[in-house]
Amino acid sequence: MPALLLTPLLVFLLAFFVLPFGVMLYESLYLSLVQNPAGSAMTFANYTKAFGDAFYLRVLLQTVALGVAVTALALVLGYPVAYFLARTRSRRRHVLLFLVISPLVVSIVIRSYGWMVLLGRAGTVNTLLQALGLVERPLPLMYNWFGVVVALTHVLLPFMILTLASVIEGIPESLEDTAAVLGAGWWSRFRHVILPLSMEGVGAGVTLVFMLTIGSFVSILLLGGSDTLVLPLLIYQQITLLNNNFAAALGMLLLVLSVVLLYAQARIFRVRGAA
Amino acid sequence: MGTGTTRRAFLRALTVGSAGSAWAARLAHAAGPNIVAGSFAGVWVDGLKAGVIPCYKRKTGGDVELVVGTPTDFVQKVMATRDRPAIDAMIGTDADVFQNAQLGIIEKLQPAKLPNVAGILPIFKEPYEGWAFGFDGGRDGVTYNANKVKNPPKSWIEFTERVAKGEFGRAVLYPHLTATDGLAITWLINRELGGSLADPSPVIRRLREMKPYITKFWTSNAEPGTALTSGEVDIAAWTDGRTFGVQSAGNRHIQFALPAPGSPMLTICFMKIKNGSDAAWEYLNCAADAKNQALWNQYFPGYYMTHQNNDYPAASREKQDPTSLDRSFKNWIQVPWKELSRLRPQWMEAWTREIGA
Amino acid sequence: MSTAVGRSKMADVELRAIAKRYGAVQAVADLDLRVEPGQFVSLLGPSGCGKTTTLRIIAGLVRPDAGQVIIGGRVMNDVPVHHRGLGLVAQNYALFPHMTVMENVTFGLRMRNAAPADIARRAGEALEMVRLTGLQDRYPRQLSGGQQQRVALARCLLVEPAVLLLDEPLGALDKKLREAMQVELKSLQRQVGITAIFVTHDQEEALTLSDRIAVMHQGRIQQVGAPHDIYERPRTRFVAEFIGVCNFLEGEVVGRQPGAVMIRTDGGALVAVGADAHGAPAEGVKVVVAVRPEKLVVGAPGTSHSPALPARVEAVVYVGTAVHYHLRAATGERLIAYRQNDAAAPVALAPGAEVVVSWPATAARLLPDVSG
Repeated sequence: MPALLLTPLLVFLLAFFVLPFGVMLYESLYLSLVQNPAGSAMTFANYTKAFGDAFYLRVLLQTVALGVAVTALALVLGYPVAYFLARTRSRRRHVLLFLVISPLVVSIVIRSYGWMVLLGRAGTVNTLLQALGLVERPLPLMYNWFGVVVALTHVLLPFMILTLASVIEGIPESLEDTAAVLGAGWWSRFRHVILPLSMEGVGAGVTLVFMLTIGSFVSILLLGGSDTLVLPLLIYQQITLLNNNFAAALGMLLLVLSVVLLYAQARIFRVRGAA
Repeated sequence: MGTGTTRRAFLRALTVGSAGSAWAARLAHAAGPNIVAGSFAGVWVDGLKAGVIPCYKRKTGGDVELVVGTPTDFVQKVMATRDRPAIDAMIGTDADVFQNAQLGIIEKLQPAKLPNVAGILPIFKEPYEGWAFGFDGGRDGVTYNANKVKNPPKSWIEFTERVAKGEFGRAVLYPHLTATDGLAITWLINRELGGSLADPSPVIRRLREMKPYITKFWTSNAEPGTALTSGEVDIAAWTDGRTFGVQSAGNRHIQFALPAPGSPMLTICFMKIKNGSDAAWEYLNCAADAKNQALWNQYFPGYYMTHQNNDYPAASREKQDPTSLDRSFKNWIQVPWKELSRLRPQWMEAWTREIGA
Repeated sequence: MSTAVGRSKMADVELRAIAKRYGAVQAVADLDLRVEPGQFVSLLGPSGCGKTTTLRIIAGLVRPDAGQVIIGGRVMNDVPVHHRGLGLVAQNYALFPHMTVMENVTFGLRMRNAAPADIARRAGEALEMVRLTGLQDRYPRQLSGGQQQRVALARCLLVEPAVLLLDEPLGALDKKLREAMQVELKSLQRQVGITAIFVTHDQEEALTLSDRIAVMHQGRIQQVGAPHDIYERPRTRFVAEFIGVCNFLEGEVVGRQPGAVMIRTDGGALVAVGADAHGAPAEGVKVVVAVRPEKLVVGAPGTSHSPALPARVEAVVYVGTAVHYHLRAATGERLIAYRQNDAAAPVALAPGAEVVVSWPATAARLLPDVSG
């Protein structure tokens, strides 16, 4: 009866995913009650607005670009840590593990204030740079793309690291030893053995971080600026304007993006020769 | 109209779950006339519990369940449960009043059930055309770090010009249009620049010139306080009450200026939700009482209250800007909220396209 | 890298005073070992004896705390693992699961940037040698255990390593296949003429394959020698116990005869052990007498050689090719004796039977009495 074990999950998904998704889809097909108190007929107007307007497409592009930047950074920074975490036999491994997940332990508001202390105009980094005479005036490190990318990479790094580490742990060390004895230096071992065998982990981590990035909102609201316009902010604005319907259409756009990526993940990130 | 009705029925069916909890709460106290009211979080709740809610309990024997959030949250909730609304009374900004009226989710005030509203100063009820009355409020001005800014701007235009010239560096906060303060100040500057309600382009152009020097367009009313005290910014378009709060926390160098031609008023209003419990009228009447307003004001020294007989607590009187106590309302500027709330989506669209997030 | 390819296939290996410590555990201590070119040497010992660490030190995967690793006359301590030009067949073969047989086999050559034509030719030869021609496009999971083993060997041999390192490569195979692979491995090693160092905890495997065996215990080499030498002439109680089965009688030297030493066991029995004159311990020295079970002669009372221990049969175990008698000497020692299941009429012994146990003096070994 393994199917029975899935029942709670299916009920949960129905209640908290399928149903709200239905509402969203439905809402997206009508015009806002704020602008049309009498109600409107079913229409694709919200979609033609979202897809037909260069402005919204540019925001979509910026959202994807942010996702790519944060994901790439998390991958590059996270892979070595994940590898170390997977391979170390140190008794202090749990300390490192705690450090890795520490960004998730702190609430987003506190974390953002932390970044403000570091990256602000009068923050640690700028004070230091000025004291060292490296810059004359404070650098804008916050309320722009830089701040957003830093903050999101910080908080999403644990997802990348933990996903990668669990996959790397499953790669027998004897493969690396054998490759080394056969003449492969560290880069070749990484390039020809570890990386290809961890592709599924890379795929999962990349997908996870990308989707969390393109859906993130509070960090961008707190650390972003007027240039950091992404879909979630646009959706938030539409909801404050009570235009849930256009917000729903933009939400569908975000969803389609995620689904496309999930599909791509299943196709791209596969380990050769796996059963 | 037919589509509208089926659509609401559909939404009602889907949102039964979220509304259910509020109904359950009400049924549990079936003995007295219990109501559900929307409030801001934190000290706002404390303020209401000091006077307004005890008053309601005394008068009716029932209780008030507070739903904490933003006016947008309340409206979203009510919109999904219009026939049996999850909330009976709510607070909101001036901008929310006309938007709610337009959505048909609030009721016109019934003077017979609200004897205390007769004592509310006309300036705090007339603009709302009977849809709401003001409870408390503040005025927008320019808050600045006196250590850095020796010569604060004398007018809003001067403020925008000096920001655009980079005189304050990249250390300026300006409210986002999604914040009610942002709507009010932006409207006023637009008017001063010769724009009209239908044409926000003058202020949008000016804001684009200012943008390189604006650290952030703030969205939460608490942001400027942190940014000013941490040295992140030196000057911010903000409100008086909040500024006095920061001052009284020991930041003497944070000063407030009232630029010409005056300060847009921002009032928090009480509204009765359509189809909500009739007992909510008593709650509103308690909020229109001078004594209850004074009790609330203990928690927000520096904000003005709306009843003509309001006797400010000593702490408040000391912090209150004298001009807000003299009731001459010289240099107080009323924002055409009715029109502005209708045009807000267009303004928002222009803002988003030209200025950004 | 090119030096590794060009090097002689028959390198000697010398370990000098190698030591390695992991925290409180001395994994390898003061270890000396010489492996002649073309020899097949086993490092044999129980798990945790340091044999794998020693192999990994030779490979360059573990850095020794002290001592020298010399391969083909060159000190290798500071040569990184991928420049040592060795071959390793690890436990479970460590085939790269994401590479085909061909890609696995050519890995080493590709790492050395060999010419593609050269790679193809040599890979073809190697696959033929291990009888895998036609399977080059399979993935490892599509191969049987024996085929995987041969891919690992081919992959290793293709780089013409100076030394072949084998880390329990047969451990994952079932008994029948393992025996077949032992034969194959040995003939392949002979054919290529490569120096091989083989780590195993399986004494039978070591006896079958090795030119020489180094028995390890607690990080030290107990004895190095040819298989028959290790079996017939163990130098410590540990070696005698670990290789095969052995009976031990603890006692004291009480006298000498020409070619033999007389021992009184702790139980009181008097036994003789063959010993050459200069190696014999002095009277009064505590010693251990070791006798293999197949050397014991079990007979009816009064029919024995001298010396003889009276004993009682406690159990009889029939194992097909032999019968095992579990005995208890009158003096208290426990003994085990094997009797070949040959054509001669078996002595009808049943549990409870009184017997005498004896052995030729030359069949017993005198060992120093140090426990362990």
